[in-house]
Amino acid sequence: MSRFSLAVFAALGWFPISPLLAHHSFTAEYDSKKPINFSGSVTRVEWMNPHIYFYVEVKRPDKMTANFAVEGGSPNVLRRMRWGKNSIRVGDVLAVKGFLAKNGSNTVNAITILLPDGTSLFAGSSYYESK
Amino acid sequence: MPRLSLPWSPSSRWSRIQIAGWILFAASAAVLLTRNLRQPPAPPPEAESRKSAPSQHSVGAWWFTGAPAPAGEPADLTGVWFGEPIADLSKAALPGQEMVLTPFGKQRYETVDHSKNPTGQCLPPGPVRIMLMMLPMMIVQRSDIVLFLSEYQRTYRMIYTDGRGHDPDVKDYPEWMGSSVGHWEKDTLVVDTVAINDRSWLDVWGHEHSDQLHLTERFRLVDPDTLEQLATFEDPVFFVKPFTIRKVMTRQIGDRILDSACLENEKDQKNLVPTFGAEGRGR
Repeated sequence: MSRFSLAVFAALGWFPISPLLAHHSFTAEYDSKKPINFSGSVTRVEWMNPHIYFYVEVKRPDKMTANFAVEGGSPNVLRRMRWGKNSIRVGDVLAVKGFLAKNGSNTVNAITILLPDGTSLFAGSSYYESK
Repeated sequence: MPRLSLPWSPSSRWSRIQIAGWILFAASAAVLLTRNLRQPPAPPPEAESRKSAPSQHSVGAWWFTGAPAPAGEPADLTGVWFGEPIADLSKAALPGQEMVLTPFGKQRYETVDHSKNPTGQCLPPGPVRIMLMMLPMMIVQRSDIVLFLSEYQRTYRMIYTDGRGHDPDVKDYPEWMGSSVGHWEKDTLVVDTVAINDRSWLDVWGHEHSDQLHLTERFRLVDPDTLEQLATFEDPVFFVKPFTIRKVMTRQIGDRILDSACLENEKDQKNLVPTFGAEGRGR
């Protein structure tokens, strides 16, 4: 884990999730009791409907790596918030806050994403009814 | 004694030419330098910008007529519209018009399986949910038909306003978007919808309906940029009495209908687990 991601890791604290952040399929797919907070480098980006996905490789202290599939909001909703297909790029080291899937897979619903330039991208996945 | 020769002492014809040359050089250098300084700094290349550029459209885009109809006449609803999404239909009901579930309706609402949400399977949203989405909708209006073209899955509603009624067999062949006919009452478009496939949900919270659902909507321009929808639901299987919701949409100037292919990157289905009733709402 790079110095940058460690700093990001330390800087991010948990805040209470607003009741507005509710989604129809959220609890059918994700577990609100399994919050996850990690940073790593982006290996792939899928800027597509109905949800954007990007894939993050996280280096662990034991030199092993873990790979996460991270679900974000609808590209159309994100586009109207002025985010675009260049907002997340392969090779970016970024921090993700989200929730793990119930089925035990390494799938994460992202609540916020901290980009390398310090800006925060609200993934919007759980709030907006995009599908 | 040798004469001290300095460039600024115009003692000879040759040095006068030299001085003129220096002055010309300095003047051109000054002009070039100040011109470069006055140029604004170059914008960062597109690839460096993480946020997208705003749309270049402005008022005057083709869907914006901007001309209000005379009072009491059918309004031109043509435009791109968007309003706050509604997750729970019952919360949008007007005062005194609350949604009251029948015992059967209540039992269904308490046991609905959120992993079976039809739009989660990329099935069409139906005529109600299409209006509640987080995505805009374009209305194209003619005298004989009004089209609601939603960005959501690029689905649409067709509302015939040429005086026809519902075809006699529509209830035998229910449609995901239902069968809609409309007429104008002064400035208000009144839409009557029946034959709605009972597999569609009414909202993201999991309110369902039967094939007896009768939807009556009234669309009116509150002002040239504000569209009001009043929707009345009658379904004796699910609701004790009719109820009416209100939604307000704002004209989207300079926006466009974006791509929305639901199956393109659908990855949720394989992760869904059965989740019933209240457990599937919120966190």
